[in-house]
Amino acid sequence: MYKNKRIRVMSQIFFFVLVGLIGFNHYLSETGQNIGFIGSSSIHAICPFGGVEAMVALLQFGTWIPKIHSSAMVLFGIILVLSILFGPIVCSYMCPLGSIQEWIGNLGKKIFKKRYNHFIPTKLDKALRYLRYAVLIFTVYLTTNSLKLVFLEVDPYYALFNFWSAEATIGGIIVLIIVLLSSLFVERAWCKYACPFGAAVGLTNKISVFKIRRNTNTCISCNKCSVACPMNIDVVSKETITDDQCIRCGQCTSERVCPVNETVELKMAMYTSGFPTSDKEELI
Amino acid sequence: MTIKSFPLLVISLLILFGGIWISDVTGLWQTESSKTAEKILEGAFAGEANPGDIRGSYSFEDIRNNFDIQPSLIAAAFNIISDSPEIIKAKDIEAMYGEISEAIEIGTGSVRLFVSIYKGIPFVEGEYLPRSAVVVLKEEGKWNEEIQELMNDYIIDTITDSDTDIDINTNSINATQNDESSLSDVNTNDADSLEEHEVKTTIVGKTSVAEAIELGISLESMEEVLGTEVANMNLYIRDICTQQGLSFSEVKTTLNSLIEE
Repeated sequence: MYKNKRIRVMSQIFFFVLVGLIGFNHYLSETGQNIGFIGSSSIHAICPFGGVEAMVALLQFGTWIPKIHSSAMVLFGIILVLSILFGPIVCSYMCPLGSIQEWIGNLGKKIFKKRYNHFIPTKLDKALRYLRYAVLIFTVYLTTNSLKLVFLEVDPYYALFNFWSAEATIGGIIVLIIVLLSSLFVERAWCKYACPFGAAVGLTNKISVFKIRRNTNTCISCNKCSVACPMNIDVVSKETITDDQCIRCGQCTSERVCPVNETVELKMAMYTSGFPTSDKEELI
Repeated sequence: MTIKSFPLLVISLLILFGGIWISDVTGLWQTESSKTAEKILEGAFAGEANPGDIRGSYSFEDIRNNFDIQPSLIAAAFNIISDSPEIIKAKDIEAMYGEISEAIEIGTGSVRLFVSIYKGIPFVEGEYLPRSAVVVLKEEGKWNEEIQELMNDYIIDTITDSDTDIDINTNSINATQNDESSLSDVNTNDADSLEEHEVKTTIVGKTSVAEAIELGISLESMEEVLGTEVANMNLYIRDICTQQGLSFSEVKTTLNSLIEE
């Protein structure tokens, strides 16, 4: 296994176990038991999307949405800073729902080989990718007006870490099952088409300080970067990846599948005359 | 400048956990509602914790921390047998007793009332207490003629023998009453008085403005009582009171009287 992949998988396992333990400890604490060294916050308290959902209501009405606390807002703030620096690495290194889709996807890759992640026609796929923005806007609108955590009814993330408890919703469990099953055919289907948090942090791809950049001077156009991309981004045709769907997993980089050293990298642009050099070239 | 995956992860972890640590130190990191009751601002009890601020999420332990009342005592007051009374929450009582009739419920409001009487803090009538709570308050020397008079119509005779006590163990909450001895079959001191108060307690902590309008209060009247325009019909009346610095108990009483009218 490549070093890059190993590091990312270790991070994914760490966050999956951490969030799982916190969720389970919360369940235990409700019954008077506790694992001492693990926090027992509810999953809502450590879900940064809660911060996105609650923000407008907090600004407009000065009230917190029930179940959401300041920790969710703090986490959203920290992740926003991280994303402005490096892009949405929260999706590829930390999000447990993304991780479990990826792990199930490994099975899909074995079953369907090259057909995996190419089942959906390109036109339909492109159109569906706007859906997550609709989910984001609709969720924030409904939450702000109803002052209730409406997304909880269909939230697969919450269901993933609460499916054993009475707090899980039927809708959430159904969506979770659909998401996990679809991962057998499409890589990170939830992230691509429906994740409202991914939609929010994905926008930082346009402005992040570090971006995936391809050195056109050394690139041999072997197309391996594009094939490896779980989000189906055509890396080989771009110099700088500003696609809102990039999750900074690093699969396309010279650390992973690119056969030429220092050709596809997560890189900060060199600034000259007020423009990053590569961005300047793009503008020209 | 290029960044590889390992330093990327290390820097990200430092920013993430460092950010959490800083927000914790500065008091920004709150993973649950504050469990410190607001202080009474005026009058003879100024500076004391306000029982009116007890919320459904307060455990009996939180109540002990704020009001110095033993969890076992509160459990006994509400007919609860438990190995760990400190973990029981005020809202659990609501779930156990349920709505006794259309408008009579024993829940968080009853806990607030119990604490108010225990601490000798004046209360606004309108909440109900089970007779077991009265027994406990009498045993503790917190009950007097004046309170008896105020509470005459607000005491619910629940079943108190040991077979029908509410049993809470550390893993689950079990109301052990059988159907026949259900708490919905309560007796009050006076059946007429029960009917008389049937619509008095319809505004509770989780009543939104929209729900209050459904109960017959006009938006204009509500805004007048609250002293502000209502920006969102789904706001809880209690939250608006907090924002406006009003006593929820007093607003609730006023609104309930408007419903009666």
